[in-house]
Amino acid sequence: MHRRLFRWRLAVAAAGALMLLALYFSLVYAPTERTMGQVQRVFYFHLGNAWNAFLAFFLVMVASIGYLKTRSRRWDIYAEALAEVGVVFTTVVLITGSIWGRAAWNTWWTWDPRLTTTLVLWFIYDGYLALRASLENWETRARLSAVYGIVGFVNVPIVFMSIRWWRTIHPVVISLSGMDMDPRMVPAMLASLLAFTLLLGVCTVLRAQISQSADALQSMKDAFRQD
Amino acid sequence: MGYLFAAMAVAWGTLFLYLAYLGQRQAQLSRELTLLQQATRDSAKKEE
Repeated sequence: MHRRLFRWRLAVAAAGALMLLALYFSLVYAPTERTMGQVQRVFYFHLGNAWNAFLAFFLVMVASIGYLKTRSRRWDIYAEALAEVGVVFTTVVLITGSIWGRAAWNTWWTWDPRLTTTLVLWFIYDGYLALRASLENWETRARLSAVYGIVGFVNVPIVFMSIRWWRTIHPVVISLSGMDMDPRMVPAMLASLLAFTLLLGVCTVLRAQISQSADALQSMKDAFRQD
Repeated sequence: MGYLFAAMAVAWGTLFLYLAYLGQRQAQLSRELTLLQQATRDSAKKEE
């Protein structure tokens, strides 16, 4: 128990320290972009949040498959936690993207393929959470949302590929030919990706623990009523 | 610079609010658990 708590505190401390490092690299170390100026620094956090959203929804699919195979409540709890955390990160992506868009394109929103598919992604996983909230029986809820979690993931590769498949004004920074950025920007991007990935882990475990505690509490309540 | 500050404030504000919300939910569950444990102990004493 103590070892688990220690590991947990270590993970939280590491996430905090990495986040400070990512802030340093993004705001101080990375050079100012010539065309966009300071606002380009939004990119490092925008990308970190987008990566987290994609990773979270991929893991929702993995956990959903795990649930359908094993029918274990643990998989369902993690699918729910990851979907909720993924929606939070997608919300941040949409808002930071909109602020960046105002500075770079002079508009808060445009129906560009990347923006539109990301908004659809946000609605898909809002729908996932709404579906979960609407079903009382946990087994029905787990089964239906597992199917939804697998099918819903189809949109993630579409979001990723949208800037490569269709004509878009969204920048394509990483492509098969390499990274279209100053080499000094790369550490800022990597530090940000690493820090946000750890933050995703911390948020997911915290959210899953809440569901586990709620389950334990409900079992105790049921036992107390029976007595 | 203003846009950078706005984006950072929104990003960190949203994440901190979410973490605070999770912390609040966990604290509420702990409170309920303590109350239930107390009720269980009281009911056991009465039976004795």
